Amino acid sequence: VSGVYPYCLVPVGCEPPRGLRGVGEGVVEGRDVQGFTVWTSEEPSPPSPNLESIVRHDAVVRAAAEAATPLPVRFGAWAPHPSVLVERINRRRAQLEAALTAVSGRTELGVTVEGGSMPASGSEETGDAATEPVTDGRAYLRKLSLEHADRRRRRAERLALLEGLRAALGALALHERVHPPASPALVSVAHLVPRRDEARYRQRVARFARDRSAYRVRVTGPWPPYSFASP
Amino acid sequence: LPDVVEGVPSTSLVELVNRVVDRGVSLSGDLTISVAEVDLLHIGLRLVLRSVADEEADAAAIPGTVLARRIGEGV
Repeated sequence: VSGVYPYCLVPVGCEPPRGLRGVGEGVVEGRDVQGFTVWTSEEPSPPSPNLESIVRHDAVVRAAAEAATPLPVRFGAWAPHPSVLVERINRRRAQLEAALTAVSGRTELGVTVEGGSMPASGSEETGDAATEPVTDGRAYLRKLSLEHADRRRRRAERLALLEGLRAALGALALHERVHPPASPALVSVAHLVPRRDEARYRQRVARFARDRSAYRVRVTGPWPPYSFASP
Repeated sequence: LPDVVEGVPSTSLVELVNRVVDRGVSLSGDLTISVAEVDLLHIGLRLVLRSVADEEADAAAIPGTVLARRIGEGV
């Protein structure tokens, strides 16, 4: 028997569309495991850790999201035999059940914020010191001090943005996960939102953005709830 | 980039990779990163990897609010 690769857990009876292909061209099928249906494909070996495999993994999870809210499995969880996968799931069954219930009927939306009034370096206070060549110990310490002050300002700016966003979204965001922002983003945050409230979420983020013209605010998603599926 | 990601903006691609690789349920597993059929790095996915930036970002969340609670905690 070939190895097996899992993509997501869904409620029992939620089956993949016919002919859906997985990370290695295996056909995706639903496997009932102790109260779940797990979307898997038979794969003789672990997937190559490359961009194409990652995108294929996501495509299967997104296909599941069209039928029900899936609990996404992290990339790379290949098992050498179906019994190994079943054993892994059984070991964490209570946690997985709770997590699947928690995301049911919900979707993940994200907000990224770029720009801002205070650049990371060379701001008014730092002047040219941050970019000046370090010629002696005093200059080196001054540079460190300015960089530290700059990081504190950025952090305060991020916190203010997050607070503003929370106030704008109110109870619409059921849960929040703050992600490390990938440059040039200042803030990257994911929210778990009822599926029916996606339009309202976008409206509220737009309102939040209107009051902050110095920033570029962008909504990402909807995503399968990756950020809220890590028990 | 491979065909399957044509037309995907690069910023969205970064967010996609972050989510698929770093989030989601960890059901164990192993990956071996190879170059030219030489195994260079074996990764045991039983470990939960967290970057310093990740820790800092979580710390930036204002404590004491319902919003800052993550589903992963306590389940």
